[in-house]
This record gives sequence, C-alpha cells and structure tokens, in this order.
Amino acid sequence: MSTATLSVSVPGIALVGCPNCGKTALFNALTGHHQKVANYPGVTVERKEGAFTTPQGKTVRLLDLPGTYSLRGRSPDEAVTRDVVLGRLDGEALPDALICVADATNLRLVLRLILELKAVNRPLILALNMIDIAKRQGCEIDVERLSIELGMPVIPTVAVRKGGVTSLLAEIDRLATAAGTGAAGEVTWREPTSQEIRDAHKEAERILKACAFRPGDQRLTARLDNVLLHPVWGVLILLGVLFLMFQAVFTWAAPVMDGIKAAFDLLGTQIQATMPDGLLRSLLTDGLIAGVGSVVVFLPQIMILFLFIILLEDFGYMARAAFLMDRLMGGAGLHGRAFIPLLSSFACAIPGVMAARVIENRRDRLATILVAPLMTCSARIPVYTLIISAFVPAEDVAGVVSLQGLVMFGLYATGIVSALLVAWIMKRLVWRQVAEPFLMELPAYKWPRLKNVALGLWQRAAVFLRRAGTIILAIMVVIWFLSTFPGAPAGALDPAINYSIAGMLGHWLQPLLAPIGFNWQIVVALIPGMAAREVAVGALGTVYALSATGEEVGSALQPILAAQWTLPTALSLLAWYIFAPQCASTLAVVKRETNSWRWPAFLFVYMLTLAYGAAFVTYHVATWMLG
Amino acid sequence: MTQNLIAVAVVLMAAAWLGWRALPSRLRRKMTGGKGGCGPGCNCGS
Repeated sequence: MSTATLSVSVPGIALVGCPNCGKTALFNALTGHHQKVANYPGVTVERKEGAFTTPQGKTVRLLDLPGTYSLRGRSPDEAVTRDVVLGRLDGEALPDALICVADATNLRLVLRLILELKAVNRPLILALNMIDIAKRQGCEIDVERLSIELGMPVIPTVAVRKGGVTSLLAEIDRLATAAGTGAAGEVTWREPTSQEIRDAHKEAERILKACAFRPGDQRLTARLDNVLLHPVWGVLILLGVLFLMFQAVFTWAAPVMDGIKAAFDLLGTQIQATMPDGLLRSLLTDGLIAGVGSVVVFLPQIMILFLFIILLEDFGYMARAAFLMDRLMGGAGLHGRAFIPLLSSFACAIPGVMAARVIENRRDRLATILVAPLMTCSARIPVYTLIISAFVPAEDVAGVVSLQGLVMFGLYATGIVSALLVAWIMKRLVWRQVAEPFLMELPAYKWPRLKNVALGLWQRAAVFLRRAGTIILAIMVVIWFLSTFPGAPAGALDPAINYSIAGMLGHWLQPLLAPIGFNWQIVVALIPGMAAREVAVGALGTVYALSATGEEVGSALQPILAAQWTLPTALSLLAWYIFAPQCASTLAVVKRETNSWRWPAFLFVYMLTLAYGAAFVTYHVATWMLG
Repeated sequence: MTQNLIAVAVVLMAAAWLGWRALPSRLRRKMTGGKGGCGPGCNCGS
C-alpha cells in the first residue's frame, strides 16, 4: 500500500474519476451536500467544493471534479479536472491527495486513468464505488490484490447509501496522521505519447485480468437494450414515454391545481372582507395574490414533469435516449453529446448552456449553446398551460388522449424541431465541417432510489417556490405600483390601470406588437417577462385584476383571457413564447460561456426575429382561417 | 394612512432588491465579499 501522506497545513482532497462513476454521490456522502446526481455522464461540469471532518477531528476540504477518462483534457470540463489535479488552475492549490472514484462494474476505463494519476505523485486512494451492483452482476474483484497491483489503498464503497464511507474516512485519517513523515513528490505527469497510451492500455488489461472477473453476459441489461435501443421500437418507445409525460402533466395535476387556486381565492376573499379599502389591500389582493398565486398554481405540473425526468435519469434511460437521438441530432449537425445539454434545458437553459462544456469541438459547443434556449424550459410551462387551459377545450381525443396534453406535446415538439432546424442551418450553411464520432458510456440499469427522486423533486419545488417568493414577488410589487399610479383622473370612466404608468407604456409600445395581435396588457406583461418568463403570467394576473370591475374581481385568469383575447392572439402568444429570448440570465450565461458579447447578441437577435416572424405568421394564418 | 405608508415601503424595498439583483454578480460578490448567484430569472437553483 502507499506510504504517501497528506500535508499538515491545508488538507485538500480532489475526487477524480470517469464520468458517471458516482463522484458527486460520494461528495454528497462525505460532505452532507446535495449536489445533483444522475445516472448519466456529464452531470458535473465544473469544480464543486465542500468540507468534512474526519473521525479524528481533522477538517478536510473536498473538491468534486468533472468526470474524465484521462488527464489530457480534450473538452473544457475535462480541462478543469486536469488543471485542478496538476495544480495549474489559477487560485487553486495543488490537492494534497486524490481520491479516484471507480465504477466497480466497469474497471477497465478507470485503470488507465489511475495509471496516469500516479504520475501526479499525490497520495492516492481508490474508492471502488457501486460495489453492490458489481456483486449483483456477478463481478468478482480481488480488492487486496488490486491494492497491491496499483500500490494504493482500495476502499469498496456504495456512495448513494454511504456504504464504505467510514473506511474511507479512516483511510483519510491515516494519511493525515502520518503527515510530515514524507511529502508528496513533484508532479511528473506529461502528455503521454501514442506508445505510452498503448503501454498503459496493456498494463490496465493485465491488472484487470489479475484482479477482476466478470461474467460474459449481463442478461437483463442486454435484453432491455435489445428493445430500448432498437432503431424502430426504441424510437417508438421514446416517443411514447415523452407523450405519456405530457399527458400526465395535464391530467394528474388538475386536482392539486384546483386546490391551490381555491386556497389563493379564499385568501383574497378573506383579505377583501377584513381589510379596509386602501393601497395595502390592493397591493395584497391585486398585486401579490393575483400575481404570485397565478404562478404558484403551476407547481404540480412542474413537479410531475420532473418526476418523469428524474425517474428516467435514475433508471439509466436518458443515456439510451441520447444514443437514440444521435442519428437525428447528427443529421441536424449537432454532436451526440449535445443531447444532455439540450435535455437539461428542459429544466432551464442555464444549466443546459453550462452542460455544453462536455462538447470538445468549439463550433459544436457554440451550436448547442445557441439552440439550447429553444428547448422548452420549465419557466414556459405556466405560460403554455395558462393559454392552453383558456383556449383549448378539456376534451379527450378518441376517448383516451387529452387534447390539452396533445397541444402541450406539440409545443414541446415544435421547440425541439426548431432547435434542430436552427442547428442544421448553422452547421450546414455557416460552419461547414465534418461530423465527429460520438462515444458515450451506457450506464447499467438501476432502480430509481426513492431518496434521490424525493430530493430531486424537493430541489425543483424549492427553486420554483423560492423564485415565486423572491424575484416574482418583487416584480409583482413593482408591476402593481406601475399599474396603480398615478391613478385615474376625476370623472374617468375606464379602469384606473389605463391611466397608470404601465398602461401608458403598454399603449405606447403596443403599435410595435399590434401586427402580431398583442394587446397592451400583453405588452405590459412581456416587459417584466424579460427577467423571467413565468413572470408574464403573474403580470397578466395583476394587470387584469386591476383592469377588472365589479364581479370580475377575484375570478381566475383563464376565463378572463378566454373572454378578452381572440384565438389568433392566444396562438400568436404561444408561437412568440416558443422562440422569444425572454430570459436575461440565459443571455448572461451565454456571455460567460462564450466569453464574448457577440454570441448573446446574436442569440437575442435571431430568437427575437424568429419569435416575431412565427407570431406574425401564426396570427395572420389563424385570423384568415377563422374568417 | 398607515396602510398607504406600508404599501409604499414594500414597493421601495422590492425595487431596491430588484436593483441589487440586477447588478452583475461579480460586482455583488465584491460588495458583499461572497454571495453572487446567476442573476434575476435564473432557474438553475445554484
């Protein structure tokens, strides 16, 4: 075993390993953090830091690094790992020790990385993770022999259940206690030659044969993959899964949504009944309850969507979906690795844009970043569902398929097809180049873990509610102010909002958007919607609450929209929302990731042009068809 | 009167907070010596 030791002063340890081996799960197990983990490669794209205390009371700084197969650093995320491990990253000291995390079911890949890591001359511990799955699959690993062959401690772990963490902590303590008896050597790693890579491969094969035995067939995975990766059945099953997901979003969420809506209505009525008329009452009922309430009501739909996504991720299906989509995405000029960034964009374009770091080629990465915001992010769901609920009847097609779910599915599909078309145009007409091959490790199928699913759902709910309680609430307060002041002059007949700052601004800008069928209320809602898309729904809630008179006050937004908008206007707004660059944070992240204002400016202009064009065509075609 | 004053205070606080959040995260980190974040509208949960 290794006799190397940790430095006494600043114990910093880095977690290194191949993608999807459980580094982040081990990071969470050691530090008690809740970083995102999923059953596909490429979840961690930048270094994460945490700390923990060993049983002997030593505080240790722990770095979670993006997965890599070698220290050569071919893509930006791999370069982060290489630079941290070699102490080349600005402001980051050379780690005192490394924990190499290995997927025990797939040792071959990590052995070459370990042989490279030995040249870093840092104390090294091998965490043999997912040992439970390896055993279930019939893999036999001689841990002691492996430790002797590699010259380092080997600790079997099951990171998701914190298995082996005690032994790992004891080993870290042992290194820390022995500190001072022998400092780590100089970093001797350098880019290996082709011959050295071949030699390392042979050495890895030798060690694997000496220490591990795995059965030739993994029957369940193979049998499932025969169906799920089939060129025809696989694609049909993928479409079926996505279709089921959107049907569920509409049909399962309805009762809970009704409950939330009723609770907000009751709160509004109580405040109306108990508080004297005045500015504060108007702020609470027309601003906060009408605004924030109309956004919070969509929480159940977002939760159902993410329940599906998390279950599929944990099961190991998402990597298969990437494999299935590779031909389609390759045809559009996108790299196969773009699937994960695009999939992440269904939650939010920001992690999607950041996840594009896993793509090595700069042009492939740029193409992915530029189309990621076209995928339907969760902030669009409140807008889509509001308009669909108001204008699409809650009927079934052929007695089983919800028409509203079908329209939602269509909107998602339009986003995906648009992204592929834009990528195709960019890659074929602007950046002509040969497509690069796509290599991706397919993880073993696993039953989703209830704790991981619950944690993922809780995190999404917390993000949504935190936004509703912070940014959306603050914007609603400001919109209420702009929609209330300076107030109607004496003897005015129209609702007071028509004389407000927001009303004036809406009327002033409306001619620009009149050709696409938008009224001034929509214009008022779109302006704060630049900060966050779903704010537009809350803004509409506030604007219409303040526009309402008599018995209309307090009623839900959907019937008001259904009465006041035409169908072409509603369809035009849906078309606008598929494309509009209505998210300042996404533009900021694109700037950060491309290190230039040129690309966010290009993104803004092309998406705005597409949005206006699509809304214009939709509005006029719908008006013409409806007579 | 009290109600109106509370309403005005809430509006001012909301506007100030939004203005703060609209500052570049690097500047906010520098001013607070730590917390930054992605900015208004970010849905990433970081």
